[in-house]
Formats: sequence, structure tokens, C-alpha cells
Amino acid sequence: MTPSGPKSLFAGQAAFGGLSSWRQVALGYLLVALPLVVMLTLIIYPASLSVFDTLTDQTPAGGLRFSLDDYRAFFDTPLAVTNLIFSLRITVITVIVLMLIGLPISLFLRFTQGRLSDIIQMLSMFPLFVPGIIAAYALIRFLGNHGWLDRFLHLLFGYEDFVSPYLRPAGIVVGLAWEGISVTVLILTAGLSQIPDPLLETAQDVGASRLQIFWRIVIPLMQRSLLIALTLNFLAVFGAFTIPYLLGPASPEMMGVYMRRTFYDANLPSRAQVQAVITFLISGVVSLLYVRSVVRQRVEEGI
Amino acid sequence: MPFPSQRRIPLYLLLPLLLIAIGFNAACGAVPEAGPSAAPETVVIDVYIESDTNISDWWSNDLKPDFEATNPGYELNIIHTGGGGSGNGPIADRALAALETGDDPGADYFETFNPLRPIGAMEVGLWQEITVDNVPNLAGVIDSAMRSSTGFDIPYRGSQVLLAYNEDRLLQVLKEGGHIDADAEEVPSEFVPANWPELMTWVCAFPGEFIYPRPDTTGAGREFVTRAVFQANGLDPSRFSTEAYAAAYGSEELTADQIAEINEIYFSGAWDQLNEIEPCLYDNGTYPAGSSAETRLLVDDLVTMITIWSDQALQAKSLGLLPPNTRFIQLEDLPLVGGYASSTIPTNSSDLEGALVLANYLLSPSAQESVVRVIGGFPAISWDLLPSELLEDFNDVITDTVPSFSGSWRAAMFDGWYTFVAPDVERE
Repeated sequence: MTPSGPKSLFAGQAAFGGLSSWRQVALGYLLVALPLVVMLTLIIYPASLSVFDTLTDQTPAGGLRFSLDDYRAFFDTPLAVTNLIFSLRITVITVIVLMLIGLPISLFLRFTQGRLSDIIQMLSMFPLFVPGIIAAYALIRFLGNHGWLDRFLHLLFGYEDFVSPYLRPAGIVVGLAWEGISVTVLILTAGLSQIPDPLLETAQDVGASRLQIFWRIVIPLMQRSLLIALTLNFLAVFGAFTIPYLLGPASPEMMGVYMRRTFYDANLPSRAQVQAVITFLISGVVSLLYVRSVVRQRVEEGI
Repeated sequence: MPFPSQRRIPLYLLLPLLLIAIGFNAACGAVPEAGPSAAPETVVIDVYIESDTNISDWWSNDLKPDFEATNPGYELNIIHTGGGGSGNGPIADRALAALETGDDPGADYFETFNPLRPIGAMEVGLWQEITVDNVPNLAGVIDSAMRSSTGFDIPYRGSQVLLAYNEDRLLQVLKEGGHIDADAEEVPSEFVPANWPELMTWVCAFPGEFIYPRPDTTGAGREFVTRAVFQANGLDPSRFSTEAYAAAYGSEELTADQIAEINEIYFSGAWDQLNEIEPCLYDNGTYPAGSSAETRLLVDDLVTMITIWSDQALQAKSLGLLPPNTRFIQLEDLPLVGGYASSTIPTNSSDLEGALVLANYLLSPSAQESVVRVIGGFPAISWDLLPSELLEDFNDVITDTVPSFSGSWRAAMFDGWYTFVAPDVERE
């Protein structure tokens, strides 16, 4: 916000114009203080306590010492490693599937108009309004053996070898992809709408084919929204609980399910803590990509 | 070629979508009943229920009105934390935190909770000790219900897990396998398992026809696994008492060595049996999550036999949710464990007195009769204290032998099942 900008119609904004710069800085800090305090007390403080807990050990004398034993124990537990690799694998597959579905839909929505694209846009937003647990039970009825899909395939095509993804790893991918479509399409269409029409028209005028426009102009210009969609989807899928719990196999488990079970059902809170820290670290690396991209955009735009 | 850059969803299209979404959310309905803006003398008791919805419905529709009518001045606020919620665990964690800071825990009564959790809660005195002095009706509670109690909980309703099978489907399976004549109309009794060894044989004689759910997701799975544990331990439920656990492992978090030891000494035989039948289970070991996902397999004609809670079975059958010729059986050598659901009361409850009044009410003959009539459970007090016509009405399901398996062993059992039974299924 530039205080020396044109006088606004709004009285409030006009008042900002009169603030001296140090007061404005103070106001800025004051405004971020509240969310910052909430973050510090409710997330960062307890999270660092947990991290500290997993990194220390009781000495026989009653003191604390640095120790990586908890982490060694995690990586020495075959089930834990299997679950971690499984979670990463499912996450990568789901994110790719989401891109493969989301990108064509967003391109279609960007470049067409009419009743059909309205309906498609609406349908792609629909999962946003459905709670995960409802979606999970609906998918069980739809995808399960003797479910609707099974019966349709049988009735229409006489297909009998239907293998239901329900309670298999594929069930998690289908469920999470369904849940993630809305956000993916929202982010990608937002990115696409920032590509100015004249640019595309110019390219067309000088004889660029649609494919060339797509590869040379659209994709480079929407790199950032692609990155944001990738990272946000990764975070949502990697930490998912409801869908993997209800649609996935009993083993291997996604980290969300595994952590909850270790904490509540197996009553092993310190192990759950280690699992959580490892999950958090992986998510942290990915969120760093997201934050970096957003900050770079701000810097470029001079905000 | 035009490039429309601005897109808007027409409002008339969005509106029905929004209504549907709101409808879905309302149907999901995890909204706790609002605390009443009661007259000042009314004491509101916050009751947290993590059991399945048949139990929370029973509380809302039967127990609440009856309790409030017989105990004026008290009002129950029922909060359901189960069915997709995270259960009573987080509420207990909050109560423990509140105990340390001296705050109001916002919870007065846990419909079911294991007082050994959260870790350390027992030592700092989170749970109210229950004696005949503060809950007089405890005197009427039978021994088998008290056996699993720690003295800091109120066992108030028993239930058992049954085997439910679809007789029509079994008949079909037997005919297709050439076990009986094509015109037979009844299932010969030798094809219905009566004890554990017969059940194990049955499961592999009819591959894909039996399933039990993951043990930590519903009692129907938990009690089946527990029964396997008993089988591997000489059918001796007394090995798994609260005292035996406390003596061997205390109340601290288990170490890796202890976990290995428990599995070695107590559970390995059970894991062997369960692994042996695994290839014979439905869809090569599809362990569903939760009782409704499991019951669906029976309802949708995918399996012949499942494990099911007695109370849910009776309720589902009376609602016509199960296949018409569904039969229930109990193992004769040692029943599938049921056990007693136990309530706990946090000592820092702001209405401790009211919570104890509620506990006493739950052990009264009228509430215990409701346990039998409404939810098809077993009373925690002696049948002698209940009306004699009740005994006649429910003669078929009465058993004094609901063997119990102390809650303290469960955590290690769940962990063991996930470590030794679930992983070796290939489900790509």
C-alpha cells in the first residue's frame, strides 16, 4: 500500500494516508501480531516441545541428553518404514493423477464458454462441499464389490472381472483424487485467468499452432500455479486421514492413519510423536517450496 | 478464436449446489446438542459418548428423558464423539490438562472409557474412585462385570459379539460345492460351526465366505481377535486381568522389548491361527474399517458369515437391515468375548456429585432393564434384581458367562495384530 496514492473515496483509506511511516510499520506488526501469537502458542510451541522430546533421552541420573534412539527405532521397525514409503508413493501417484485430471479441466474452462463449461465448473467444485466421511461412504457404495460401478459394468458390458479398488491402495488414490479436484481446478484456473488474451491472440496471429501456444506460452506462464497446486495437493494428501482410513487397506497404512492408531489404539504416544515429527519434516520441506514461490512472486510484483 | 478470460458461475446454478451441500452437512449432523439455557438450579451434566450410534441414540431417546424425570434438577448434555469423530481420547486429554491447570474440564461423564488412559492420568488422580459409598447401586453389580473393572470405572452394560450368517447364501454355497442335494431346504447343523476349532475349519472349507473387521475399528473385530488370543492361551480369561497386566507391565508406555515380550508370551499363538485363516477370508483378507463397512458385506451378499455385536445385530434385524434369513450363533466352548462397557468420571468435573448420581442411576433396575430391552445388551447387575418377566422375554440370549478381557491388554493386542497379521496380505 502506498500512502501517497490518490485520495480514496473511502474515508478510512484516506486516514491511512496521514500516518507517518513508523506508525504505519508499527500498525503492520500489530496486525500480524495476533495470528503470529496464535501460531506460536498453539502450533510452534507445542510442536517444538514434541520435537525436543523425540530428540532427548533420560539419563540414569535423571538428566536429559541428546539422543537419536527414537528415530533409530522408527527406521528399525519394518512396518514403520513400509508405511512411510507407502504414504510417499500414494501421495506422489495421487498428485500426478490430480494434475492429469485438473489441468485438462482448467484448460477447458479457460478457453470455452457456455452451458457445458458452467456445468463442468460446478461439478468440479462439488467435492469442496462434501464432507470427507460422506464422500468415503458414497465411494464405498459406488466402487465396492457389488457396488454401482460393478453392476453397471456387468449390466451394460457383461464385464465380470471387476476388481474393486475399495480396501486396496487404489481406493485411497481414487478417494483423495476426488477430494482434491476442486482445489486443483481452482488454483489452475486462477493461474490461467492471469494469462492475458492479447498475448494468446498475438501468438495466434503470427501463426502459432494451439500446441505451440500451450507449450511456449500457457505452461511457462502458469508454472507458479502448477507449483502451488502440486505442493498444496502433496500436503493435503500426505496428511490425509479419513479417506485412507475408510477406503484403504488394513496394511500398509498412510502416515495419518498410522499415527492415530499408534497414539490412541496402541497407546504408544512417544512413538506416535516420532512418526509425527517425521511426517512434519517431509511436509515442511514441501511447504518450503510453496512459501518460496509465493514470496518470490511478492518480490517480483514489488509488494 | 475468442479467449474468454473471465468466467463466472451463474448464480442460479450455484444455488441448488449449495443447498445440496448444506443438506449433506446437516445429514452428517455431528453437531452436539446445544447446552440448554437452563434455569439456574438445573445442573447440566456433559456426557461424552464414543460408542456406535445405537448407544448414543439410546442415551438421547431413552436414558436422558428417564434420568431427568426421576432426578429433577439435573439435565444431560449428550455429546457424541464416535462414528468418524476422534472418540473420547482427546476429551480425556483435555480433562487431564485441565486437572494440571485447575480449570474446568468441560466433561462430567465418559460413557465408555478406559481409566488407564491417558498415560499417567491414574497416578495424578484424574479418575474418580467408585465405591458403594458414592455409588450405592454398585453393590448389585455381578462379579463377572466387576472382574474387568479397575475400581475407577462403572461397568454398566454388557454385550457380546455373535457370528451372523446368511442362511440362504450358505445353502447356495453348500449346493454349489456339492455338499448337499440340490433340493435341500435347510442347512444341516454340521455345516454351522459350534465352537472355535469348527469355525476355523469352516472358514477354510468355504474360502471367501467369512470376514472380520480390523480389531481397533469396532468391537466386532476386537472381540474376534480376543477370542483367538484366549484360544491360544488355554481358554483362560483370567490370564488377562487388569491386575495381571499391571503386575507385569505397570502403567507406563510399553518399551519395544516389552511389546516383543507380550507378543511372544501371550499373542503369538493367536497370530499363527489368524495368519492361517487369512488366505481363506473374503477377498484374500480384506479387513474392513468399522462395523457398518463390515455389515455391508453381509447385506450386499458378498460374504456368508461375519462377526457382529449382539446389540447391533438385534437392532439391525428388527429394522430389516440384514438379509431376511440371517441367523446368529455363539460359540459353545467359550463365547466370543463381550465384556462390559465401563464409564469413568473425572475427579475435576464441575458437577462431580451429579455425575455420581448419574452413575448410580445407570446401575438402577430401571436403567438396567433398558439395557436389555432397548439395546439388546446384558445387565451389569444380577438378574435377581430385575423384573421376572424380563427373564422370560430374553431367555434365549441370557448368559452369565460373558468372559472379560481387561482393556489394559488391548493396546498391545491391536499393535500386535497390525504388526503380525495385517501386513503380509498382498493387496495391490
